[in-house]
Amino acid sequence: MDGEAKLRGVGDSLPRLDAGDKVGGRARYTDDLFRPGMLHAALMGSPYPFARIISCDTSEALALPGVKAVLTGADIPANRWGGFINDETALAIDIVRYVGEPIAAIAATDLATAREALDLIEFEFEELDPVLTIDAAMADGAPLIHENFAEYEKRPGQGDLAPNQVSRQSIIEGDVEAAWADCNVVVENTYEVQAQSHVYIEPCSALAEVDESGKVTVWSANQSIYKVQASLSKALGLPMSKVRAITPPVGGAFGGKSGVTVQPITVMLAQKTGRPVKLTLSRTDDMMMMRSRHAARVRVRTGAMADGTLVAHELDVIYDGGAYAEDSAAVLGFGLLMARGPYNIPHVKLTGSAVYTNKLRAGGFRGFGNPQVTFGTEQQIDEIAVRLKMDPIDLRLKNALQTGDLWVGGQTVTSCGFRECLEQVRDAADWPTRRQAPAANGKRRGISVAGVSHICGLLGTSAIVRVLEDGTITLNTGAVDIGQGSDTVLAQICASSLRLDIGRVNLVAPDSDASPYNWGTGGTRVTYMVGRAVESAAGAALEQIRQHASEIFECAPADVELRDGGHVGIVGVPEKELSFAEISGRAHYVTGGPIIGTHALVYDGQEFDPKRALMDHFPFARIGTYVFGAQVVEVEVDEVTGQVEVLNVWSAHDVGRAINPAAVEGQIQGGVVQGLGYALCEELTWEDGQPTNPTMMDYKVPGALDTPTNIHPIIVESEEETGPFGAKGVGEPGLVGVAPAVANAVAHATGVRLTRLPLTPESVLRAMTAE
Amino acid sequence: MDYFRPESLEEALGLLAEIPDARCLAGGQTLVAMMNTRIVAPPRLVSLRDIPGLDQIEALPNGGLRMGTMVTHETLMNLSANGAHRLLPETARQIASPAIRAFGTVGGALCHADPAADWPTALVALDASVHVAGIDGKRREPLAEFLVDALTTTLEPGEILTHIEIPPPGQTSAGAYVKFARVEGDFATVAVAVSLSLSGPTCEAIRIAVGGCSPVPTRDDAAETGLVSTELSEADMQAVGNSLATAIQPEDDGRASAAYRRMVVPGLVQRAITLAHDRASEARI
Ligand SMILES: Cc1cc2nc3c(=O)[nH]c(=O)nc-3n(C[C@H](O)[C@H](O)[C@H](O)COP(=O)(O)OP(=O)(O)OC[C@H]3O[C@@H](n4cnc5c(N)ncnc54)[C@H](O)[C@@H]3O)c2cc1C
Repeated sequence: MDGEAKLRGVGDSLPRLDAGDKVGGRARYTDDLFRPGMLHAALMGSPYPFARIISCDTSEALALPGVKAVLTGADIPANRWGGFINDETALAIDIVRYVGEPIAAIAATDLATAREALDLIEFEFEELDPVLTIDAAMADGAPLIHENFAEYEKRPGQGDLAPNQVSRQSIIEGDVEAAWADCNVVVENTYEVQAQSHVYIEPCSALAEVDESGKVTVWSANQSIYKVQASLSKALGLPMSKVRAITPPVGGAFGGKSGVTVQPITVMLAQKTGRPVKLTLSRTDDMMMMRSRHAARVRVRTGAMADGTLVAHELDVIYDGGAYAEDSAAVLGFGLLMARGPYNIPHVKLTGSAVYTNKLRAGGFRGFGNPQVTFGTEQQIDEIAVRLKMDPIDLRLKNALQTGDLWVGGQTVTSCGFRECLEQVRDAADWPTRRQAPAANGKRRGISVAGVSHICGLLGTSAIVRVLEDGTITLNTGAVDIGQGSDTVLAQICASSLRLDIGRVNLVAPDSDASPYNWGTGGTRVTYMVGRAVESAAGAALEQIRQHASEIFECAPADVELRDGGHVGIVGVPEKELSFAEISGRAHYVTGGPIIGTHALVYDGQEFDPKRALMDHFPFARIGTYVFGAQVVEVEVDEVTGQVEVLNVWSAHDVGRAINPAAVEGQIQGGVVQGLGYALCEELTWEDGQPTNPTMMDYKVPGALDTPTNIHPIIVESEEETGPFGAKGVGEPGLVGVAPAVANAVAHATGVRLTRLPLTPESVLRAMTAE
Repeated sequence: MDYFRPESLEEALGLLAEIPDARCLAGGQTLVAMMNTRIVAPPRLVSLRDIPGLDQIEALPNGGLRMGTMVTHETLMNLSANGAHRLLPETARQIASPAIRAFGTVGGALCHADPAADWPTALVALDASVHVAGIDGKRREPLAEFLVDALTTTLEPGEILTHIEIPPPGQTSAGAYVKFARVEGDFATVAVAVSLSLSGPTCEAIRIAVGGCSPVPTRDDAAETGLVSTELSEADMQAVGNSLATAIQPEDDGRASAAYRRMVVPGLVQRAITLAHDRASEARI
């Protein structure tokens, strides 16, 4: 030890590395960037939900002084891309499929001119009968939203699909049909959940530039430089090596930026004009053109024995995918994987589909199909408790999964803090007292709970740890910090792996020309997956350091020990010590070459067990490492208005190990707030296919004053053996159980059960007065 | 578009008269937002900011208040007022958010005449009247007449609302503003403003305005008269609530259905009267 202050790393609530820049207004987001000669772009959206484009006249727009390019579907390559089904193009070609679908793009010398020129484009349409609901999409003889569906390129294994169906999947274990007979209580209901807008603070934005060789560079708000690169390569017909994706600071994404957004059309404008082009959507354009959470209808049946033992669970979900397939197949598959919940239930039948409709495309959104099914499942567990006159936490504890139990599909759960989460929220909420607490005059009061599960392990990732000449470190992972704080957490993991202070770790901003592969920020995976890559890459660098040290010390590598603050020494010989700088200098100038540790992995958890579960068309080869949580919500319902006021939320999450406890708490609180919006007030609405609330005036997210100050995050650490320092993840789960917990609390308060989100004052009041 | 900051009312009226569709700019919280979304594109903006006196609140000798059109929500939020006039800060506090309250003006809100806005409802309950100046002279009229329809007032092109006048509060008076909105700072789904005065335990005078439910704030004269000389029992309040629920002309919109508004008006009216009654009773003791 050289008298340094305590090393700051894993386990410390360090401030975000980017906090100063963001709070001080110095962070430069994509829209803050500027290139010499840069043009500004704007998009025109379709006025119809479903129509054929008959003709288009852009001459007047092109004639407006300052306009440099106008593109329509007729001018762009017809290359289609997508998640599982390649059905998207940068602008609608021949057919428009939702109101707001981009149909023309303009680049001009300034934004006002670009927007003004949009009004000068003349389109002629032939309107078609729009398909606006799940039922309409599945009806016999329904119009085909994609008439050339059969010709689209698809990922193998989609199976036979009905007209307008995007995906169809099932997971079956045991024999539900036979099991109902063994149940003393069976509850059955149909739940409906709405489309939620991502409302990230930063609307989608891209800046593109093309060089002499045709190589494209794109700065954009995204969740993965490599997804941007891959989709652009498809959209533009360019090899990946000709596409460079860079990510400046991102102002939130929540899944809405996991695919490409405005990058393809921005590049096409840059290619057309030969000048850099920037395109940032207005809030309304973003809400109408981009993505939402999947609306869904979930039919659920659950049965239990008189003692509360859960026996059978049947769930069928239909996700409304909107006009393009995007990630719908993955959302469906993941929804089904989460549909049983963190309970041991021997007989399970989980089925579902996703369908096209003539509405905004739905995509990934914090929870990724899980909130929709959990809204049904967790209400049923509560209903069973009511029917059996059992305490809802006791009932959950009785059936709770534990380490070593099997997930649906047959994987062994390697670390499970679910019971502890339930016990901790029960204690923190003073549950027995509050379950009985009297309501204020004119109010009804209730408190209840929901269980939560999720995953944090999937797909591929890599990391490079370089030891600079002076012994400081440059870490490069390609992971995009979308505001959740992964840069800080990864730097903490790197620092502690090398027993350095975090101040000595420099992070490379994501750049596909420089960063190693990382699938993306999503699925609660960055801390767990990228963290593993960082820990191992640091380990690889350390091996080289050890080797150098052993050569200098003339001892066995095994006798070299790592000491705090960037030193190595000989075990048991305190005075024998070398600094990273001395070793790195030797590596750079004398022998061995610069020290670079790398590690690459693809999720390597246990596979599903085909002998145990029948999994039809399941879209993930491997996915897992389960995380758990329990959320208790206390509400007061106004008897006059039906308004639900949330008084307290206790949210306990098994995160494996908290690398940065403050960041974990922030993720829990943020998830809870977004979950409260989903539960109580957020809903994208349409009338005859026209969005009716695509503004912040009309689409309401909870503001600071609507948010209960009493959101109590609770960290449970189950120590996942495969995780970096035992960590798993926490990005999404904070949202997942909020809506069912609110609905359960409202049921406890009022005696009525609401099955449709959001729980608006009107829906609650109507249910109460019909009671 | 051109932009002027005249330093007198006369100059402002002259500038407005020169071009059709020229508009006054008050706090800009509605007008500029509408310009940004290209709903309106006025050829000329005439800012009222530099006209002396328009941002002042004056106590009248009779106990009434006279405030300039440019008085901001924030100023009213911090006003120390008596009796029923306390409705002013109570209302202001519930409008939008701090940034908007710092700019938005009471006159701008009345001239825009949004059915879901707060000032029309609160000021109708306070029996306010407005002063309007035009190139041909000035007039004064009750606010309830000034507000003609949704987004429509008696203002003729080129006219400026200059002042709002509120009669003195009664001896033992109080007000209450009960706003129900989807989220904090949103426009009202339903709002109820009550201003009343007591004589002993009985109601001496009462005005109740319901906002957010009709093109203009709804009052029910007969029902109000029916409350005078009562002790505002629960049955009395229910009766007036029910009659107001019938009197409103709500429409379905993104905030709520028309039917829902009718469901909640009686309860909210009762809540607002109770609140005002309790406050006045406390003042009496
Ligand atoms: C996000 C947001 C939330 C809001 N929430 C609420 C809310 O909860 N409750 C609420 O009541 N309001 C709300 N508002 C509206 C806000 O209170 C506005 O400030 C107000 O309605 C208009 O006042 P202004 O001074 O900004 O008027 P401006 O925008 O400047 O003008 C509005 C209109 O009135 C005309 N005008 C203004 N002054 C005069 C005058 N003296 N004579 C003649 N014509 C005039 C203008 O020409 C214009 O047409 C909200 C606004 C925003 C942006």
